[in-house]
Amino acid sequence: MCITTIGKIIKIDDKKALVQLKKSTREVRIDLVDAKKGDYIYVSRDLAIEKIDKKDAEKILNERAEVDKK
Amino acid sequence: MTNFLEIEEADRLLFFRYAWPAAAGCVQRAEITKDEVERVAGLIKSGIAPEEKYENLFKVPMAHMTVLAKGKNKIDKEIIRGYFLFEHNEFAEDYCKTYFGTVMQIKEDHAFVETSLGIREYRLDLVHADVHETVIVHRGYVVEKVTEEVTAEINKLKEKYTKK
Repeated sequence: MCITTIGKIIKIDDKKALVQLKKSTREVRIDLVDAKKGDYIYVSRDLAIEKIDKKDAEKILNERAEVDKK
Repeated sequence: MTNFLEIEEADRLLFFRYAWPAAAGCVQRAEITKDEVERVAGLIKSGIAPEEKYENLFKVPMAHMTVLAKGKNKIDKEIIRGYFLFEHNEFAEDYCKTYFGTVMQIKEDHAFVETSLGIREYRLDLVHADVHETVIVHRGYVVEKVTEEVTAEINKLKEKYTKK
């Protein structure tokens, strides 16, 4: 399906969250996801799609970083 | 667990016609087997809606459609077409976008369809189509035939989504 990015929630304001992405931050809607500060989420445009376990998130981010290096 | 809205029972088949071309990516991620993808494609072509559980393979459209359906109890055909034909085309890569086209030629289980991308080959695994028919294509597949009824419904959506 369409590409999603993984981000870490650094701030929550009601139904919106500020998310740290690889090189930037983005404000995303989190009304579909039960998430809190510090959680990792899949993001599509300005929408949080799903929560992701910290371990899995870090593994995927590391794998993507390796691909970027190549 | 994400809180997606349910898809209207009568419109689930339409959703899977649009979404199933992306199932190849789910095979790569080992979320489903290739055999199952082919089995479900066969159901879709026969006009049978796949089980609800397969909706979870398509979390991105499910999430965006849930937001689009705000104020409705369920995701219906208006939301499904609104997402795949308009909303999703704003951010998808060219290959992932949906396109209107005309069937120029049929060769076994493939159709040569002319769209704004030119004449390309699309699979007929999900929908049957005949030469000269207007269709919608998505990620290498013909996903919907554009009948008069469908045209009228899409025209209504055009007004809504171009006013945004």
